[in-house]
Amino acid sequence: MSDFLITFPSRRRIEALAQKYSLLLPERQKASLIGELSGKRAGSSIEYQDRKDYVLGDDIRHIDWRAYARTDRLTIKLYREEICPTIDIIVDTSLSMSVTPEKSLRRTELAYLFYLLSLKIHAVTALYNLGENLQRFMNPLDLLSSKDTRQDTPLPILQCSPFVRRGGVKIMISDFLFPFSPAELIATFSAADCLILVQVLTAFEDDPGQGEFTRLVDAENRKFLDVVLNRATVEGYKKRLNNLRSELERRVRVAHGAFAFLRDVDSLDQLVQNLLTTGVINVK
Amino acid sequence: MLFHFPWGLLALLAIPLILFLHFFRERRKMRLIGGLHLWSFAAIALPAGRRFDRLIGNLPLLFQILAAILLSLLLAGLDLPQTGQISHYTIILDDSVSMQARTGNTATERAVQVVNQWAKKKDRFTLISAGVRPKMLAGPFASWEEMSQALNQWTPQSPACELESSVNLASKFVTGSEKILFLTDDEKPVKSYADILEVYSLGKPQPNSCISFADRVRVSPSKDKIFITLQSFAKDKAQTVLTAYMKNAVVFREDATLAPEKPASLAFETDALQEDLVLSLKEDSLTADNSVILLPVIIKPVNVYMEGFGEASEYFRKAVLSIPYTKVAPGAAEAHLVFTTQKQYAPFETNLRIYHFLRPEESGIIALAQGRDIVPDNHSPLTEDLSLEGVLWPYLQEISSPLPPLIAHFGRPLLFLESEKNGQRHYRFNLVWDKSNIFRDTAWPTLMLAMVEECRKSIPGMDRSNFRVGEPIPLRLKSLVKEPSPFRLLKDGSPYAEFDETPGMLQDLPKGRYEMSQGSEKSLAAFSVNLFSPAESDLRSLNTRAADFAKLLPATMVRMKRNMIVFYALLILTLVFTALSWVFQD
Repeated sequence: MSDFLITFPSRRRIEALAQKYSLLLPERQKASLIGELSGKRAGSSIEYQDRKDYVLGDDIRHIDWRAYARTDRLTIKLYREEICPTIDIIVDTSLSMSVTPEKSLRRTELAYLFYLLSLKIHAVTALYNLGENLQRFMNPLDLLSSKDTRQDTPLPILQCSPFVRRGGVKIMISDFLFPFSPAELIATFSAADCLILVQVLTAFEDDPGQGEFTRLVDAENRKFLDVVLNRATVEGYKKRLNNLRSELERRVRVAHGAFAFLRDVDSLDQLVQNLLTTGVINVK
Repeated sequence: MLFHFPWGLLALLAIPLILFLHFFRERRKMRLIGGLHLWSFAAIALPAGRRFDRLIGNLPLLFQILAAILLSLLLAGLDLPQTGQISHYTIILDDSVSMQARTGNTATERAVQVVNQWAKKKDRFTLISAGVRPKMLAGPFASWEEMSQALNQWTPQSPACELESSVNLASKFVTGSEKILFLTDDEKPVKSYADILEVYSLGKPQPNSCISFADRVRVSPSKDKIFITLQSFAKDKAQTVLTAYMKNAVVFREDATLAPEKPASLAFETDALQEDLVLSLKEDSLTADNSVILLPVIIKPVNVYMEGFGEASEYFRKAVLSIPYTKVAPGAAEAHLVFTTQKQYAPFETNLRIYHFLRPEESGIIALAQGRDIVPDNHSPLTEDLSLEGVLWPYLQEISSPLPPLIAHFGRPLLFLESEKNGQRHYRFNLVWDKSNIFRDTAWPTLMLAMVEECRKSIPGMDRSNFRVGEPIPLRLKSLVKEPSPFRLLKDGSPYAEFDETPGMLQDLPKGRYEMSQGSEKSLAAFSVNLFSPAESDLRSLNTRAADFAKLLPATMVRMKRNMIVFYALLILTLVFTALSWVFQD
């Protein structure tokens, strides 16, 4: 326990935040299991909601015979659906996520927070480690001891994975600094009921600041670029970064999701504030 | 393989420095980031893949190390020399003027042809010319190119071929049983050197006439007399014509019939003009002895001044006027020779000889020297063979001489050199002259003549204007310009030599007309050097005999010639790798 606390001093804080906040899930859902929450759509729970005219194919067990006797019209009773949400938390474990220890820690903190928030609503929670390939893991804290792996681009891996084809909530924690099309990424998660994208960047990745001749090395493949961090270069980069974020945010919103951005140097309070502001979480 | 300059390998110490700088340089600002694609617009270097990048990143280091290694090998003089055996030959050339005798071609031209055809380009040569003095023309151990160039420029003009000194010099470069090749036109004088010389004689016997002597003498203020001796070296009598030119006009002509072995003397007079006189004989096979140039006779007048002698001055004046080219000067400033009774005479710059006499009022114990008791110094040009038989010579006993006297009476000085400074000599006559009969004695004109001629010789400038080849030529010139200026010697109108200081003596000048000048000044001196060498003019004994080159038995040595391909390859590769390291440097 003590070793665990040394490497993850903010654990208690994360757990306290999980107690205080909850995930803000979307109204529309495609549940595959019966759960404890009531959904807004008609389902097969015992709680009567409404009736509708019978059409060929409806479940005949739900024909309201009393209403037929009264009206000579075949109608079907509609019951409030029970929601058992599925939450898939995809954590980017490529080498780019550990360019700084703080960035790696933020990723772990976010994964742990979302994991706790998921457990809180008794969601079926699955954790996925998106590195060289996609692997499921059970404990978000395993991220602290696992090694990040090289990843060229995660999209093909995601597109091939089976969980993206089912509904539920998808939460992806990444820096989104791989070459990709935001439209394609959002389309990959088109089956999700809710998509939450959380971008974690280092302070330099967010705002390089003007400087001198610098060699930028890609953490994934060790390619490098020599740039001069003059005003034009920095502004050009920030413009591209903002365009990426704007595009992601817009598309996620269209897909009834949320996009949050965090820096590795931000405090946990700032982290929570961002998540609240972007509608990822709300106060319980 | 060898290194010419092994110390150059110390340049390898640059390699650790290169490594240090390379890794030091690598510590530039680097940033690890999540992805590069948002930065691609700002790239200032081509992105590289990981493996390629590692390779490209190390290439400049590799090229720099290679360049450093190659440079150190270049500086160390790495060589894969080309070796070969070469032979060394020592050659003596007869530098006497008879080698210029022409029958179709000259012996000189034949000698050059022989050597050029025989000598191999890979061998080494020591080339010596044997004239009055030996001279190294090429080498020692000169290449074929150097030897050939010296040979083609060789022009024999010496009045004689002194073989002994040349053989002594050449012997320094021979080893073992090696023989010296001697190219001449007459092998007879060489017989005593048969064991060390292999002779190649290229002469062809032929008759020849020559001017064996000529001189020009001033016989009167308006007349010069020319003395000439002609000789013929032929079996029979030879007909020739002697012509004398002055200012391109013929001033004398004589048809002469020359008997063999009998020199014929001629003489004629001309006006004593300050013009060159050219004597010319009918041309024959050796032209060098057919012409002579005689420059005007040099006359150096002596100005004499005397003071304080009263009526006795007349004796001085008479004695002076009896000597040719001597006159009495109106004042001491114009005089070369001064006779004075002044106690403290302040000499002028022109005064070269000052003779101090006793003043009449000078007092002291007087002694009398007479006749045979007066002893002149027969080694001095002033008093050589001077007879003072009837002379009464009163003198002051207490006067002493710092140097051995020129005239003495039982050791007491009567005439002596008192001092010499800046070319001025002060003599002292210890003579109570007003009580002596010396001025009336025949010894006085003789002594005066000696004093005047001794003074004449001390006047700066040449005493003669005509010399013979091989004769040393004294100049004794005085600089006419204040600022330092080189002295230029012209031969037949063309620059011949230059001197920083005035040369006192010239030697070994070839035949020709010479002028010495300084700065922009007119000629300081002019003189001629003529060839008078009957021995060389006699071409009857010349002969032709080829040498046996196989008998030369030259010393062989291993020659290592630097392999320039290795040098240039190292140089080019060093430059290439240096350029590549710069190209691939990021």
